[in-house]
Amino acid sequence: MTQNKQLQIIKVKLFASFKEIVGKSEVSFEIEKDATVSDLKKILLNNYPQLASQKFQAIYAVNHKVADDSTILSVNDEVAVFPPVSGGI
Amino acid sequence: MISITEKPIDLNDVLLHSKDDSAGATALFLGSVRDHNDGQNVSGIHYEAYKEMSQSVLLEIESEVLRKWDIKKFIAIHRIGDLKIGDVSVAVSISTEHRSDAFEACRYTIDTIKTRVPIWKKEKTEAGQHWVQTK
Repeated sequence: MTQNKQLQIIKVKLFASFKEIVGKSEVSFEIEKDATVSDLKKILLNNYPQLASQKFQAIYAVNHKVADDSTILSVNDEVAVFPPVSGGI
Repeated sequence: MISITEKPIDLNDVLLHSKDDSAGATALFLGSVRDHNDGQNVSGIHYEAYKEMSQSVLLEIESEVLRKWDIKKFIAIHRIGDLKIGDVSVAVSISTEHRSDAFEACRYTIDTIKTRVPIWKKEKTEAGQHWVQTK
């Protein structure tokens, strides 16, 4: 008998072109506890395959810091995904 | 002082807050919306920010600058929303004892803002609107 894996809801904020492509400023997914940014990437692309055709690379941020693939996600984390920044002048 | 604001940047206010009796130099950098880009006429720019992270990153940049140079006053303001040609989108003002520190710290601040603060611009041209890709 397989044990049920514990799940958590992760909310993801979207910005700029990513927000327009998905049509929402926030999405949420049920993912396993101890899931990483890498796991979230796969789920996001499965749910919104239109993001894969984007010419912009995606940057992930967790609690206002740029995160790498191995960053572990917890339920209270503020997670965001956005294209490379282009502010200033 | 750092800020992300929807309101026009008040330059008199920036200069007033840059004053410090121990500073002999103030370097002020202004970025404004220009009427062309990549061979196309531009009629305006919409700036979108991840506001909370932009504020954290601006505070990080301020701490870095305060560690690297002897800073008397540090101001970095980025405007967001719909801007017209000639509107000031970003202001950096740095006061130090001598001019070389002010120039160096000001250059570092604007260069770092452009690469790290999560703000995106969407250009309005005759062909329509498009998000600007970082080169």
